[in-house]
Amino acid sequence: MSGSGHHRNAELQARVNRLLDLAEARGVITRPEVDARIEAFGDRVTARNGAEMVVRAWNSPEYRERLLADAGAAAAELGHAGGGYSSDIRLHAVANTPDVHHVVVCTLCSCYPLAWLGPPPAWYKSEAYRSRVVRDPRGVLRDFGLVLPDTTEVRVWDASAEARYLVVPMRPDGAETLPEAEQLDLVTRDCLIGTAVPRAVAM
Amino acid sequence: MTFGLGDRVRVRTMNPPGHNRAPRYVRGHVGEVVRHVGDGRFPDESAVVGSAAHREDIVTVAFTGPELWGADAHAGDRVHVDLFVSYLEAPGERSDGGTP
Repeated sequence: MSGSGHHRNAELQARVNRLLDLAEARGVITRPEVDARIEAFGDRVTARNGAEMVVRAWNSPEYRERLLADAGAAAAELGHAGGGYSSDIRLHAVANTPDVHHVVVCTLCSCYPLAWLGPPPAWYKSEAYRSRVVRDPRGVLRDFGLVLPDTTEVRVWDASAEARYLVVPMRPDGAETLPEAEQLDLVTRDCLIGTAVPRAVAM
Repeated sequence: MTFGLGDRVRVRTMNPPGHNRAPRYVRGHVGEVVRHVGDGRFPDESAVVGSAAHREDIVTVAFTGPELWGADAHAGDRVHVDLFVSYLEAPGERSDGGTP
C-alpha cells in the first residue's frame, strides 16, 4: 500500500519511496510496519475518539470536570491515551458555553490533536485557514456555515507549542434522549476543531 | 522568568535568524497569562541540537482582538497563544526600545 500510493505528485512519491527504501535497508522500519501505522490511522485513530470523550462529558458531569481539568488523563480513561511522537504533547479540552465559542488552529505549521481526531483535513493545514482564523474568526466560521451571535465571544487557540486543543461542543437540545451511539454521530470532526457545532435534534 | 496567572506580558519584539515559535502576529503585543501549560524543549535550541536543548516553561497568553488587529476586531474575541517564557517580558520592559 505505502509503496504504490496514488499521490498526484510523482516526484514526491518517488522521494517517499526512496526514503522508505533507505529506512528499510537500514533496519529503521519495514513496509508492513508503515502499512500497519496507516491502517491504524484509518481504523482506530479517528475523530470518533474525541467524540467519545465529548459524549461521555455530556452524560457525566464528573467526567466533564475531569476532562476540563486534565484532558490527557480523561482521554486515557476511555483508552485514547495518545502517545506517539513526543511525550511532551499534552491535550487540553476547552468547552463551549452559550457565551463562548472555541476554535483551534496552528498558525505556525499544522499542530493538531491527531491521536484524538485522526489525520487533519487539508483545509486545516492551508495558509488561508491558518492566517485568517486568528484575524477574522467570525468570518471564517461564517464560511463554514456557522454564524455566531454578536453576544457570543470567540476564543481562538493557536497551538504553537506542546499543547493540543480539543473543543467540547454543547449538547444540542433534545440529544439527551438519544442513545449514546446516536449522540456520537452528532459530534463530527469539525465540531471538535470548533468550525461546526452539533446539528440540532428533531424533536 | 516566571509568570503568574493574570499577569500582563508583552511578547518580545525579535527577529532571530533561526527557528522560533513565537508567531509574528503577537510579537510586540500585550496579553494576559491565562494558563500554565508545563514545560518543553526550547524550540529555538532544539532545532539545532535536538533533545539536548534545555527545557523551558510554556504559558498560554490571551490577546484581545483589538490588541492584535485594531478596532476592526470584535472586542469580545480572544486569541490564545502558547509561548515559551523567554519570548515574554513585563509590559514595562520594552525590548524594542519603545515607550512603555
